[in-house]
Amino acid sequence: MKQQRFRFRVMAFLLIALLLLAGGYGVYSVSTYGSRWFGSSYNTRYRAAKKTVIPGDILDRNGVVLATADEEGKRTYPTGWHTRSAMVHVVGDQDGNVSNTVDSFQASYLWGFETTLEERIEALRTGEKRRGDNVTLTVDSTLQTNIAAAFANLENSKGKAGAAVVMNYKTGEVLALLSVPTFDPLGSMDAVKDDPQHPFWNRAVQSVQAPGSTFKIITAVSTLQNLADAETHLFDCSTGATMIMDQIIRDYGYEHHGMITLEKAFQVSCNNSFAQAALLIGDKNLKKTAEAFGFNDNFLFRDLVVENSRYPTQNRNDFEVAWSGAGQSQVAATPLHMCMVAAAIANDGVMMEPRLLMKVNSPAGVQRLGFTSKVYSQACTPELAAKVEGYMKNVVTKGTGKAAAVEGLSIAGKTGSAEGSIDGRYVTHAWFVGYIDDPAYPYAVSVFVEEGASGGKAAAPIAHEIFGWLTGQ
Amino acid sequence: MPAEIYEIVALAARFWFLFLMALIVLRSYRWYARERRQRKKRLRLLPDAGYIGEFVVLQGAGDLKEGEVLSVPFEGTLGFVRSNDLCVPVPGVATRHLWFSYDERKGLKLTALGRNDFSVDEKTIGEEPKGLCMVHGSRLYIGECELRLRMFAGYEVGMNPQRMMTADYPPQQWQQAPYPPYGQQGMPCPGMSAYAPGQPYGMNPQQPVYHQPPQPMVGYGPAMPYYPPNGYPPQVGWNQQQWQYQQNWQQAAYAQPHPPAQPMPPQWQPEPFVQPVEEEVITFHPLMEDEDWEEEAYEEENRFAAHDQQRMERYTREPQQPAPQEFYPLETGEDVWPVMPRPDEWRSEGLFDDLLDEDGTDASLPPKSAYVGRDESAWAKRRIWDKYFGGGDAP
Amino acid sequence: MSRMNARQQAAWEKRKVRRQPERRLVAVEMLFFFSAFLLISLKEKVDFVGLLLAFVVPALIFVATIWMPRFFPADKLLMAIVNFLCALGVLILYSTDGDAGTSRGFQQALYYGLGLIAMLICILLVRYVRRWRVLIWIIAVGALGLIALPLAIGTEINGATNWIRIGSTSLQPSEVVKIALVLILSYFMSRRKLVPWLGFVGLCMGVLMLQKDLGTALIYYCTGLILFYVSTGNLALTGVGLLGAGGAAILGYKMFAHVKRRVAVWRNPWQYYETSGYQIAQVLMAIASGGLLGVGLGLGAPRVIPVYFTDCIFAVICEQFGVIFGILTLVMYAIIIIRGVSTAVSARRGFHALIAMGVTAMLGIQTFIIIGGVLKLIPLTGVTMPFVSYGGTSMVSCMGLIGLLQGVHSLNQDDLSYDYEISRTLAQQAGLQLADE
Repeated sequence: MKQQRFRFRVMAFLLIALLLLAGGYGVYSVSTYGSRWFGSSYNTRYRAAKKTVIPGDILDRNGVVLATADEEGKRTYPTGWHTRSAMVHVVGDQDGNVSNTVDSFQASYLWGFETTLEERIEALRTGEKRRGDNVTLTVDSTLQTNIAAAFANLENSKGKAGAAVVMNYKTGEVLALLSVPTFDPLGSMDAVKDDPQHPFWNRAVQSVQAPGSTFKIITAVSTLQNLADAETHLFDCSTGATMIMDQIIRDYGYEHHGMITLEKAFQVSCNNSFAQAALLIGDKNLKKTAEAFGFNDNFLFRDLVVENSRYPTQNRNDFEVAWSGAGQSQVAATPLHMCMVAAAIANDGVMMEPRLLMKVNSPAGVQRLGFTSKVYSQACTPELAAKVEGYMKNVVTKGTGKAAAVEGLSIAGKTGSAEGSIDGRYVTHAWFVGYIDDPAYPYAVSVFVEEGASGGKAAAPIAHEIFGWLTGQ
Repeated sequence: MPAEIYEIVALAARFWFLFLMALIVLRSYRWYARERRQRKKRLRLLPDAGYIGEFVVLQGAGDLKEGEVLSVPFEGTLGFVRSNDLCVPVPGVATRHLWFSYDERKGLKLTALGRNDFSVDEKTIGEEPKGLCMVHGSRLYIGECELRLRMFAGYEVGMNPQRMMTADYPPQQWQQAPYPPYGQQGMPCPGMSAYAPGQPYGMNPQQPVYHQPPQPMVGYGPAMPYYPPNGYPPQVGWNQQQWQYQQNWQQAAYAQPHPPAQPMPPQWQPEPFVQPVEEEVITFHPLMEDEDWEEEAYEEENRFAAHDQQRMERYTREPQQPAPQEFYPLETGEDVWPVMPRPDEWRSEGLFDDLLDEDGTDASLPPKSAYVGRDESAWAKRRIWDKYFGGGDAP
Repeated sequence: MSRMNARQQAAWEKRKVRRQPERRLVAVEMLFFFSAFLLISLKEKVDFVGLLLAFVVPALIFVATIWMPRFFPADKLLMAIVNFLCALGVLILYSTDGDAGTSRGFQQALYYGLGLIAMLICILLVRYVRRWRVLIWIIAVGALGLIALPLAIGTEINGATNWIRIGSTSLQPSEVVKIALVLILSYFMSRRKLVPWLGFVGLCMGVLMLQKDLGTALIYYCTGLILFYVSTGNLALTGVGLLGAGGAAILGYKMFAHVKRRVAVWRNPWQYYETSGYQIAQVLMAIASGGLLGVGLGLGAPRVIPVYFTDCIFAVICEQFGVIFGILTLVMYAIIIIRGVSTAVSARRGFHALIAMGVTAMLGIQTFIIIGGVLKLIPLTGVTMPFVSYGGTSMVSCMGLIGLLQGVHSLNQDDLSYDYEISRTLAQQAGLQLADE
């Protein structure tokens, strides 16, 4: 009996621990993912509120009304065709075809779930229909429309899918979050639905693709961190190919660069050198640096739902590790995340959390939520960031990214040509990430063109245009 | 009511419901904590609660000294290690040696765990593999030691003819005691009363002897298994139950003619409590008294003094070394409730040594359950009661 | 203290009665349910069923918590908490009825009354039955017959053949057999008879597997395992049992596609939203839309959740009253567990102790399985939430289990008061008074 009583108490502790575990997990998951669950496009609850509430307006940073609602509570988009098409992945459409847009993710504000009791009573007194809160975004609709136009007009990106992200690297404001192809939220959806390019898909935050050579920013940081003679070490690219585990690593177009330093290798985007660097520093160190930059992390940003980026952890052999150094081999990231990587280098290694909401105001004008910038992580030290910044400037001035250069601006960047597959076809995606090194224009840019073949040719020209618009040139 | 107004009312009511829920949980918790406190306090007041008897060590070995007492719960294991309900640290006893369980009609039933060996009185477990039963006074031979069972479980066991014994103490001594003797205190618990010498135990003299099944009566019968709190319905037919007991168990006792009635000693009446006129508080607490009272006055006026003297002449034993009082120091403050001394301290309290039989037990004396007669366990309880519980805090 | 006159004395006594903890608690509970039912019944137009419930449910709580324990020393705190949970179930079901045309709230109130009767019967059973030797075999045979009955005349609901239909009412025998299971396992374990113990558990598990009732089988298995560990203390065999269960789970995962799908749904329900992930996704959205404080009683859209009235009722509670309220509900279950275990600890006979522990383990495991499932901690399995979920059999079985616990508690109290009475009388005779009086 004595031992039995002891065991009774053990079981009591066990059962109560189980219940507490369930409760604690519930609190944790609701506080962490609650807004995501609620903002899910499957959620029919806020649509049920339509009867009593008129949803609030969505404005851009300059006060342009991107979306409003009529007296029945139906969404309308008062801007022109170009703007409303370019903004559709951010703002959302009437049927909720695009998931995790502002319209659904901020539903608790827009549909008046945050309205206080006094305001409800006030609405009841005046007899008017209750209105949801107005949400002002950090996005610049003019800029985003221009980028969409550039995508459509420039030769190498015409008709191709892609994404472009512009961020303020000091504060984390997202100035543009474009995904192409776009579509008109007021138009017919029949053709859009069957489009093989899947226009409903918001590529800027949902498309997790191999970052290709743009990942070499992280490899370079890791090499500088972990290799003592990183700046003087000579990498062997005399043949243009490296044999690892009886498999070959080669450069784009079998170029060969001879014995080169890290700086030169970065400038010419030499896969062989970065493969050797990745093997020298080892998978563990590279993974550590990548995770410092946000890979394998669960992105739980306040305003944005972003797919998680991956740095592979399983089935690692030397060949895979070597390719990882060049941003291939199941390394994958979204355009927004690569923009954050460039922004971290620009901001002395401090990665800011991307922010989409400038402010939320009640219909009467009372501010419910203001803009606060938040540091996401310290990705690397300022010294390393400064070194890599120098490398990235070389890329734009005399390397693969010359097309992005703008007269009179100090621009740093990195191109990328990533091999991936779409529906079983092997294709090459074009990447460009970069930023303006100027305190007056603290903007980082990431451009991604699906099947763009070469980053320097398809993505960098678009970045060139963006830099121009940002600085008013 | 209109949907908008209902919405506002329901939203406001959220806080009200949450407040009530929090209040409910808080009150539940406080109630739980309070009951837990009360229960602990009450269990400290009842050191015997949950025990059916004691094993007295007749022949010790190892760490188990002769004369030690082990309290026996209703069920449990007996073995070498401390996690057993009965820890018998004696060579020859297995880690878990036997399982015992109490049966109201048979006594304490012992079953071997595994192939462990032991014997009760004359029988070994090998002869009766289904289990051996111990009654009051039975001896258990286990390992190298010998234990004797002293039962004080419920009085329904006292009705068992196997346990009927005769008292042999002189009733005249009672009147000289400072307190009225145990048996004379009225009914110590429902259904019990004083016994005259020569009267069989297990029988209540104030209880009618039935010669035929009685008509059902309403009231609080002597066999009420728990005390009736306010509002409990009176038990119906308790006297018929008594008839059944009589039929089952008391035939042996009633086969002989009832002994002639003895003149009962006068009933002791407690002094009526007089409310002190002055408002000043009079503190009376045995703990605050000096030890002279305990040592001298109590010993001299002890109602058992003469009886003890006889025993002491008959039976002397080497003086024991007083055990170090490391557990539960006696100088407890008012805020700390005194606790029951540990069995190993009882010896140093002088509770047992001078009262033991030749064989070290009281098996010739009535069970504690009856709370009658000369039972040193009762007397020990009485001493403890006087010393620790007596003062109580006046209401 | 100054002297009081008779009137003051009477007032003081009255106040003391009013301030008893059970009265203080039950008063708040009654206020809660009165205001809640009143609020819902006035939602659109005045609903007389709601007004009736606003008086009947608090009255049931009062009867069960204050009045019923006058006949035996039951655990009033446990009674108060259990009754609160039952009434909460009635409230939630009534609030979700709304304009749907169902009358589950009223039905559940009837089941609640039925559950109280079942509890009373179980209390009397434990309290007054002294000779179990023959009875337990009768119960065992009857329980086996009952649990196997759906195999012969059962109907299939939600993929499991565990219901039998008699006329217009349907019945789930495996719920009622839970009571018998606890009694039988405790009896055989306290008599150290392992063969009938194993036989009964094995037969029950086999029948449940044939019926494909995995949730109930899991509860039975866990209860059996806990009782085995608690009564024998044999960690090795318990570990073997756990490993066996784990191995069976892995084997089932490897062999059956639907188990695989269920695990995949558990890991990411949104991916399978259109098919099998619909339920858990809706549950999560409901909990999230409730937030900390809830959307308000009678508001929200709980009816989009599949089986919102039985399995997912916790999500409805969280949506309407908020996550904090849900956590407080869990605290109530934790208090039930604590009380159950302390009843088991203070029981003096092994049989009674094991009954109390078995009841506690069964209720605790069932609560964890369903609440962990709803909160996506473990894969969602279709079992009911004790006391709250809709359903007569579930209510009867849970209240019956609580009845067993109350019976054991009342026996403990009897034993203790007997000991106490002896000491109290002795003290009175000595002209003293016990310290706690």
